[in-house]
Amino acid sequence: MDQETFRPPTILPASDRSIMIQFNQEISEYIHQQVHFYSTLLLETHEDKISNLSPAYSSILIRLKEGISIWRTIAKLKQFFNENHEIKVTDRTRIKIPVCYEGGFAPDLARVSAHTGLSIKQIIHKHTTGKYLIYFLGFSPGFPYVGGMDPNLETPRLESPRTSVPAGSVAIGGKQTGIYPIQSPGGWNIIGRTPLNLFSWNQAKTPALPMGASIEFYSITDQEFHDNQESLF
Amino acid sequence: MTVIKQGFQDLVQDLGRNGYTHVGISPTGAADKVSMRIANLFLGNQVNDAVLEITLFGGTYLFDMSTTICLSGSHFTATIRGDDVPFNKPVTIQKRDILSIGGSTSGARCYLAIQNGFSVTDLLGSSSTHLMSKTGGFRGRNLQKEDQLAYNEPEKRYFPIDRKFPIDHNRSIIRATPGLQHSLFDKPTQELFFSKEYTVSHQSNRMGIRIHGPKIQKRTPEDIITEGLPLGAVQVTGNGDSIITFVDHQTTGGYPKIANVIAADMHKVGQLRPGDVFTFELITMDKAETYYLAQEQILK
Repeated sequence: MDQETFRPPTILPASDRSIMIQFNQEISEYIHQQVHFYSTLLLETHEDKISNLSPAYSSILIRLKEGISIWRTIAKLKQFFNENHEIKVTDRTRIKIPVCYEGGFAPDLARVSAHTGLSIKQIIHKHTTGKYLIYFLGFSPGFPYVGGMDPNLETPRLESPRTSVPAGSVAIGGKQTGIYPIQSPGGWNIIGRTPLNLFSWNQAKTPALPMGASIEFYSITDQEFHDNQESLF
Repeated sequence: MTVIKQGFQDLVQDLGRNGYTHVGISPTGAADKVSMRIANLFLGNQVNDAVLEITLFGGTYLFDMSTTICLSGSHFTATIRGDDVPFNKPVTIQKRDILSIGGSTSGARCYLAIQNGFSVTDLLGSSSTHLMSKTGGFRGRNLQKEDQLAYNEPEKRYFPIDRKFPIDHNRSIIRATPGLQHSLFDKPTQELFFSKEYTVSHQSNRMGIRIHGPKIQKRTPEDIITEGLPLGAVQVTGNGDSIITFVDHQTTGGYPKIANVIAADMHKVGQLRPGDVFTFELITMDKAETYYLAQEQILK
């Protein structure tokens, strides 16, 4: 990454116990690399001060440990971001995710088709040819915020969210696509389901779909979904 | 401890599951951590020992082993063998004693601490229950009739009975600092926000406290880019309603935040119950930190 163009982030208190680190407020792979690099580095170097850290598209929120002063930490972080780190990004993990876009696994496919004017075949084609980047995990355990969806697939969220979306559901919410790793409430249009187990509480620190990974979807049949279920778990 | 009669929402909680928001796991923990800590302090426990968080009305519980308990937080009617149980005092429990907890006479929650804590399977370093993901605590849910919640063996111990904790419990005034996106709201809107009364909605839960008050409109219709959510952030939704981000919150969100409840008043948020009326008081970040540090001193 070009060091000359790195602009240190804006660092400000978000509450009296948390600090917001704002990079350029845009959704891009360039800013994502900075967020990814620094959230990893901060977790390694500031473990004594940070109780929780939430990277997002273009920011990192830090929640302080008990008794740690907010202003002193902000001053130290400002110094830290002026230390000219070499922003390195390790090779991206590539993950291929089988998705069954059929029947009961895809209750909102017709809605997406009606909204986008695309046939179901076209929707599946566009969804499976995309190359996606996991910007960060948030919302619920292991939930990846995925960028890179074909803008033609954009479909508004459901008017009222479902109280329960099954684990493995693949969905479209506005401009974004995503996967629900665990059963949870959700308001996105469900267009398919993967038989893969994408979140394990025993391995919470090393999620199956990590920040910075690139993912692709491929279509499987209902039969393949059921055949593969056991072995893929 | 066997549940004979189920309460409204009895949850095993501690100070929370920290260190995992970057993988989307909510910090959770007791809704009123001040009362939870006080209950543990009266028993000479570790502050993080697991307690039972009792919301609105409690149940009836049979103890299988003699021990010592302490109730703290909002006052609920509570009896053992027909005698009223005092709050903020260690109470001796004999084997086969039955504790009956009724309704609250003030705020939303009280805490039942027990010597050396309740014992549940540890999940990522915490005993806290997270209801949305149905994990942690006792089988990821509230206690139900016939559940048996284990507790650790007590030992002979001196209890610090006469401690006083001068904590501000007035939940009609909740102090807040400016939120991260307060400048997305014009001056009159900010003044409106901090001058009007709010009523707590029935749709509140441990993820968020929904409040009814003036409709708050931001200057421009665009949403913000999704970012990490601080505890206590007052989020303004698209239709102008406000939600206080609470202990079981999602780790990230895209609504603008007009204000943030100060750490020293988060315990008051944990005591808000549907129908409660309150106002926000705007204070500076410096004062907020001073109040936080002063409260930590009291709870040492």
